Amino acid sequence: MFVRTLNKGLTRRAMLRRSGQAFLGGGLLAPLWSTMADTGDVAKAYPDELLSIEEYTKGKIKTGDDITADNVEHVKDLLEPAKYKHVAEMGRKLKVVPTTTDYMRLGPWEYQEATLRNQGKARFDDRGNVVTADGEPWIGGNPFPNATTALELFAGLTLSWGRHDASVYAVKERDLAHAGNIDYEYEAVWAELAPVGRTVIEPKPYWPEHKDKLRFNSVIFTAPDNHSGTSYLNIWPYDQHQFPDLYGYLPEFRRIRQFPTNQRFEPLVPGSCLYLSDAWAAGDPLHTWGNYRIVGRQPLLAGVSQGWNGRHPNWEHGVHGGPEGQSFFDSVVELVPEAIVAEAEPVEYERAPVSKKRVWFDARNQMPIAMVTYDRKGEPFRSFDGCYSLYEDGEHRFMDGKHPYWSWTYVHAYDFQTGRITRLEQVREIAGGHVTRVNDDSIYPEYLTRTAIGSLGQV
Amino acid sequence: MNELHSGLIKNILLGGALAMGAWPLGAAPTAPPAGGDQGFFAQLWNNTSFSSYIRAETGVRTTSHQNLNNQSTNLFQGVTVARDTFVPPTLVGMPMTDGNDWDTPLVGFSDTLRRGDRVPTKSRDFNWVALRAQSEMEVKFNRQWRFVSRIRGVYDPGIYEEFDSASVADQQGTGIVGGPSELYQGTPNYFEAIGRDGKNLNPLEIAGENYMIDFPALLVEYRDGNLTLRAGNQQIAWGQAIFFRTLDIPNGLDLRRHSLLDRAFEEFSDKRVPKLSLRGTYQWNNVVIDSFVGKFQPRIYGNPNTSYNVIPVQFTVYDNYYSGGYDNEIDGGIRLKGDYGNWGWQALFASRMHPAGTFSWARSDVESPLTGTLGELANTAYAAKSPACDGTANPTLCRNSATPGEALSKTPFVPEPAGVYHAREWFAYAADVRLDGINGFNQAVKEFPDLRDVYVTEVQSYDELYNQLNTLMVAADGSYRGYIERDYHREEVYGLGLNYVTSSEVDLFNQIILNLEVQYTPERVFTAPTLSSDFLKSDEWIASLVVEKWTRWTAAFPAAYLVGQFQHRSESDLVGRHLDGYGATEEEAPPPGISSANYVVLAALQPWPGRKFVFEFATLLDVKGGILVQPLIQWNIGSGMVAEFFYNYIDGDLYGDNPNENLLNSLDWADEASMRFTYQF
Repeated sequence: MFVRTLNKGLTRRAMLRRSGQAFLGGGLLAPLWSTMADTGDVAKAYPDELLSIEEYTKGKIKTGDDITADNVEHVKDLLEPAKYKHVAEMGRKLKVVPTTTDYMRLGPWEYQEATLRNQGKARFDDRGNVVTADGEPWIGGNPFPNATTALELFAGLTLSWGRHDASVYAVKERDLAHAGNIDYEYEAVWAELAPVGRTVIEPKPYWPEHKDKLRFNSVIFTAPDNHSGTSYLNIWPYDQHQFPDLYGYLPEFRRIRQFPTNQRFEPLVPGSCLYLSDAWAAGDPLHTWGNYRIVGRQPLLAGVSQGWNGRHPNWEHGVHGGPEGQSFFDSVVELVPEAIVAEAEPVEYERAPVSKKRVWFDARNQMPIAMVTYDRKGEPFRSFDGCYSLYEDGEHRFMDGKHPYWSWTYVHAYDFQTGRITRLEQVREIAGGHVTRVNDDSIYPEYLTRTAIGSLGQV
Repeated sequence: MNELHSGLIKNILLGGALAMGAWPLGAAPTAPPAGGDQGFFAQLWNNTSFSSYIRAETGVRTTSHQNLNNQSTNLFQGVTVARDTFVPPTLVGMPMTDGNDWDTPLVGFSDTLRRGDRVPTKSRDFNWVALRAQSEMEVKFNRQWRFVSRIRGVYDPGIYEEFDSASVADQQGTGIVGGPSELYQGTPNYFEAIGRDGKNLNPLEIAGENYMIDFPALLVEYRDGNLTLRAGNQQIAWGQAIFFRTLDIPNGLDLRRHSLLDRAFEEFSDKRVPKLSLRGTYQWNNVVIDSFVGKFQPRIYGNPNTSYNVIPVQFTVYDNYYSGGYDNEIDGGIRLKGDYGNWGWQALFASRMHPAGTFSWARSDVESPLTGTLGELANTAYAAKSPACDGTANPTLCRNSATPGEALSKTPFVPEPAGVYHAREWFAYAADVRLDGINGFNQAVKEFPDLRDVYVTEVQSYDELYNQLNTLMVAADGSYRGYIERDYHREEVYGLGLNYVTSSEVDLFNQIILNLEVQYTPERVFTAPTLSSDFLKSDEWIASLVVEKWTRWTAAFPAAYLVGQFQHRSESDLVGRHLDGYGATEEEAPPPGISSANYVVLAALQPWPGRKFVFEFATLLDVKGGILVQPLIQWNIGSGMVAEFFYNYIDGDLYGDNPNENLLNSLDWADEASMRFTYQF
């Protein structure tokens, strides 16, 4: 077919041409969203060379190959700058896996269903919050699955980070110096719960007494000793002009104290390259950032499947690369046929160290697959790339109700200016018996109340 | 945590916990399985976690000033003082006058004395050198139940130049004989906190002269929904104000170790005395209900002659915690805390024993003879009195005891070395610890009439007492030690608080966190400046306003934390001394007192990019003219290592006419540079 034999240059030109057409949704051969909604598959929306790395590179790189410094030039235009640098200069390797075309494998089952079920029901109200036609809070799934603006992309992402009603992520963090040595190690729990737009946990779609809130979110460090019990609880109002209430439990103080919420560009612990603002590439209330714009579209190599290491009893990943051979997780990438590149600027943060962020969204599920932030001089500041996956590998499986769990598996945060790297991975369990779990209504009392962070704090 | 370390620590500590009976199921552990099906114990093992650190701590003196409360560094060690003697009015039956008694010289007995000639002067370069280890074990049985044990060990090798009671053992006949021998005999005991009967004040603590091991936390926790219950040894922190403990009333403070001169931003996390208690916390909508009931535990003071001792060592202290039955007392309280976005409130009520306790003159029951020429003369004169009548009513002719030493044993004053050697020392130290030198003496005479039996009289003027004290000291051939006892009193504490977070378009005024806290305690019992057993009782108001802000100075640095606080106290100072005792000097007594105590805290915390370094700065200003300044650099080295360097600068005479009108004058000697190096594993 004609459309299946587009060459690489033509594909790139087509993508570039489409980047200026903000009214269009995704897809090159056919509208992406309607194709996915009709068939549950993305294959008909893109030519072969955007669905196969082998086609794209004319056989120079095949599925199953590792992308290394030796062959990275063949896919340089498929990598965002940080990942390219990691491979070309720092010894990172990327294992290529097949492109996922099944829509239901690109997110939690119930969320994907709700996205299909609720398509077309979302709008922005006068304050710019996402509401239903009758002005109620959102009812679940992605409100703008066929997003045509950057604001819609970020709005959908901000509404639901992990795309589950409630999640507890057991997280191991390793912070590496420029020399490649691990100089800080942390274990932490990240918990988030949606009181609106719920698709699994009753009552749904709203928890009536918290219908005015968007999210409960906490981060609790459990190791090492001097940070054990350091906890922060964010309670997000639904109104995306308002900052979350922030309560903190610091071991030194042995009690919960209120913290200001507009200081979101701070590493929570020494050595870390992560700020609260960086969470899910949309860590701040939607309208505290502005100048949202789509600046491009491109195919991209990114981790969106097969990133779960079920062979390890704690799901931990192997590492490689860097001066000490431990700078990067063993990474997988697939050819994402269409990434929407969007930018935004912090407008409510005086003296923020970030002038803008550039986020690559997977057009299929509109999840962020890479982010680069820029400092106030416009120089690249930090980058984030990670991997999502269904938690099944043919031999092992971790369930979310009736379906395999879908979530992020690992993240690299890289500081361009200092060379520091923060590695995060979602593991089965960390010290203190904190285990990864999902859509469990006990998550709220256990992790997301002031009583909870007090209890989880150092006694 | 390093896997090897983790496993090793698990073996050691879990085994240790089992040996101590800390294993909550009372069963022996099984070895961790290599794999396969997990049994109950294997699962429990997997749900057990550890975190530990060791830390070296030092504090180096940076000025010539040293702790005036200790023997070897007494204010008068190098001062030669004339001690003139006078004829006791009741010895010869002189008629009592209106403030002019004790003005007839007793010729031939006056002397001069340099305290350092009696008590060796020693100098410390280091105020504090210690090695600390702390380890926490958490066993999570299931989502509801967990067991937490934190064990803390501190070792002080005692490398300082120390006072040794043996150095005065041959003086005044007996040397120092009174008080618990663990505290008053030999070299300083850095850690044992004991009552007058020698029992540990803290039930879960093992301590010796140079070490202590205790459990800041040893508890079982149950959680179900919004309810959390904790039972065991634990610390409880209440209130929002930091540094000022306006509503932080559940625990007393432990002033051993580095006392209150540790890193200011740690607040009191290492200082709160844990207590055996049951704590329940429940969140009901926006309100958190927090309550506790627990065994009363008192504040722990530094022991005699330890670096940060705050009780002058001329006193011997009997702590009546056990003998007074206070160990059976129960504290309880409830606190409600409501938060509604940018504002919140709190209210509390507690019925507790005040952990600071009170001090009053105590009968010593320590018999030590009068020695020396004048002492022998006094013994002779006393023996000549008739035993057949009441010596307190007619001290000229009658006596109640066989010897003056026996008579004095029924009073708080014992002729022992290393006490108060002259009137100047008496008045200077009374002023320093905020006591009433004149009425305190009179109070002792009133409460212990056997003092009259040995020719002691109440006085009506400074000069009368000055002369009488010098005469008594010469008659003792040295000094007198004062005996006091510590008791505890119940009080009902009421507290209210409001907090508000500002919202403004102007960054300077945006996200400022305001906290107002007020404590009211009716009829709080204080140590009387006279050390009377009829303690001072007055209603106390304590109010604190806290203003906090996080602000970014530049894009390159993380936000700085700035806090300003003001506290007003109507009756007592920050450490609980009644304000009526303020304002005396060596030359002027009784103290005029001050009407209120007011303090200002200004503090800041500025992390470096990446938080590898954190600069902290904390000041405490007593508006009457004293200041404490603590700059600190924390270096997060990585790989589990943290180093902290800080300096405590204290000026107790910053401004004002009388340094004894401000709190910090009592700590003016404590300028020091400190370093801590921590390794976590």
